[in-house]
Amino acid sequence: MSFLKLGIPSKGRLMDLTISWFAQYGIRIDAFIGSREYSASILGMPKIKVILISASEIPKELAAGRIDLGITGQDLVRENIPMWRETLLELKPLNFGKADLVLAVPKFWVDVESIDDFDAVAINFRRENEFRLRIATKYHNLMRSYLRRMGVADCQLIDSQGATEGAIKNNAAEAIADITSSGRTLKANHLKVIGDKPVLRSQATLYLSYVSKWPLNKCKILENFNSKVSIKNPNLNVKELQV
Amino acid sequence: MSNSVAIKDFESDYQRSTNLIELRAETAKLMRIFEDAGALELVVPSLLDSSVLIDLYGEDIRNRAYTTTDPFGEKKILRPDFTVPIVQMHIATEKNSGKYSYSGLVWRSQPYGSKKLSEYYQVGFENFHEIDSWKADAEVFELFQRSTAGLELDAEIGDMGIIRAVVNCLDISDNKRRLLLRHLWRPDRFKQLLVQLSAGESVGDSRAALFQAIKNEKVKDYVEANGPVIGQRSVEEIIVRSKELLREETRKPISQSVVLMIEKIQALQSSLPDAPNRLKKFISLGAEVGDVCDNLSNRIEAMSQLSINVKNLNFVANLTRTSLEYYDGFIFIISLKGAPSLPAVAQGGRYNALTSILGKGACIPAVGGIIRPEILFSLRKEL
Repeated sequence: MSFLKLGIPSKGRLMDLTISWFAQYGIRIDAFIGSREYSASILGMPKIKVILISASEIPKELAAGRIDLGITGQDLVRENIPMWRETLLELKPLNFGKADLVLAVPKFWVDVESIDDFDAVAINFRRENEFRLRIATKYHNLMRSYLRRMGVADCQLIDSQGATEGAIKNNAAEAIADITSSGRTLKANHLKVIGDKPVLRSQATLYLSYVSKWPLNKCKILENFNSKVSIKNPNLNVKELQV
Repeated sequence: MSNSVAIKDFESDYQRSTNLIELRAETAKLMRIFEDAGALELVVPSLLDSSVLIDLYGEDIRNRAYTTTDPFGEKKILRPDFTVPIVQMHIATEKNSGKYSYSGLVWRSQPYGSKKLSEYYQVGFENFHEIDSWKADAEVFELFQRSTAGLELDAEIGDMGIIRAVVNCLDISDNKRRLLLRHLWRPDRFKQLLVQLSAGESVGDSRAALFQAIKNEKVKDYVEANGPVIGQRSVEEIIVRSKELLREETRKPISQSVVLMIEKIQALQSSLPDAPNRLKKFISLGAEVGDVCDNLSNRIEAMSQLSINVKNLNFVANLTRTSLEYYDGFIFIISLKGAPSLPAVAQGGRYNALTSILGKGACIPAVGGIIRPEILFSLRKEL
């Protein structure tokens, strides 16, 4: 008998919000975090196996087809899975875990408002300094394609896996690119966002993996699941999915 | 020779089907031609220090090349081309002139799903000389045409100097000019900047407040009131640019007719001997543009003197503007007739700006090019 494997975030707010999202459809997920083993079960749906995985690991698990469905942030999918549309389907945006990836500079840069300003400053900076203007971020792929799309030439990305907002104060970067939901951390670090639109608007989303195997009985489980949580996605073609 | 057969071969797997011994013979033949032209063969490492390339090309290089790290954190790039290391080697000799040849693999990462190879051979020739001259351009082109002779190939000629000269003659601020020159290799961004320059920019609330502060001579207070000074960029730099913004704001936008003219120049395609006169017709800008047209005429003359049939060459004003920023004058591409989607058999051009960056401002005129021996070899086999 085959299961449908559903990966959900294994900790923090994202896990809590995921559990409450299911709750609104009368689905109870019991997560046993206290024990050594991360495990969970979904009450009343024995054919669905819930797997607790770190939200940042879920994109790769989906892309490898080791899980069939998974909940994670769009930012993590777009950053970590190149050409994600080939392997994943955004089954449903879940309306929580909302955050924007933004490019931010010191607030006292009063001459910089738009990405065009930023580009011009980067070109000047390169002329005045021995190195290119540095942007601290952990979103290398998203930022690289954004900078290319916007035609910003004289920048370099500096890796920063945490406390990115502090990078400017530490003289490790001139600008940062990071996820923000309220903008409070940016403000506290005397930073402001560049441009009218963020680099990416992200929210928690339920994904389906095209890579995992979809035999007939698993498709049935999926259809049953979809009707329980009222998913009607016009891009989902179960007949084509089936192997 | 049937072109369609050749095309089919390329799209599949021509590299694997190529007999390496025969390929080596083809490469040796090319290297002999380059040696007869006075080239010294250089051996270039495959793993290059990443800092130089990243500094030159920025983040673009990471989209185009394979980057790697060793356990000590030393960053390396798998050689995406030979030109940069050859320029460095030439500079290290401290000689004024030099001709070099090389052969070997280059590695380029290709877009997802692309059929283009990410590993292929190049055989190249570079000429560094004391005085920038159209004669050196013509000689390099003649060398590459001769090296690829005997096949039905098309040659396209371009000149980045034209668009640069046009930008240099525009009545715009130095800042804007720098922006346009920086984005010559990004046609979409270049166009967007031109449109902005002709439309004039609208001034939002915070920009208006900044301008008011400048007019009141309170700009330093205004900058510092906006937050503590953090990071490398100084208050002074911000004030200088703010004042430039205000000056730009009072400038007249460039006229629509100038934008149209630039677009027409960029779109120009003609037979090479017609190009100078066709260009002159558009150009009513300044002396520098006239000079570039004269250079073009002189180069055509120099090519004729080397017995190149210039009437058979096409001038394409917009040639290779989307590739890595590199060539900044004369450009040529030699490719299979009627198969524009195939990789070029040979290409090259002038790259004085690149040598000047790597030479820390020293002017070292340079022109050169590469041949892809596998493609040449496959085409010869089809004959």
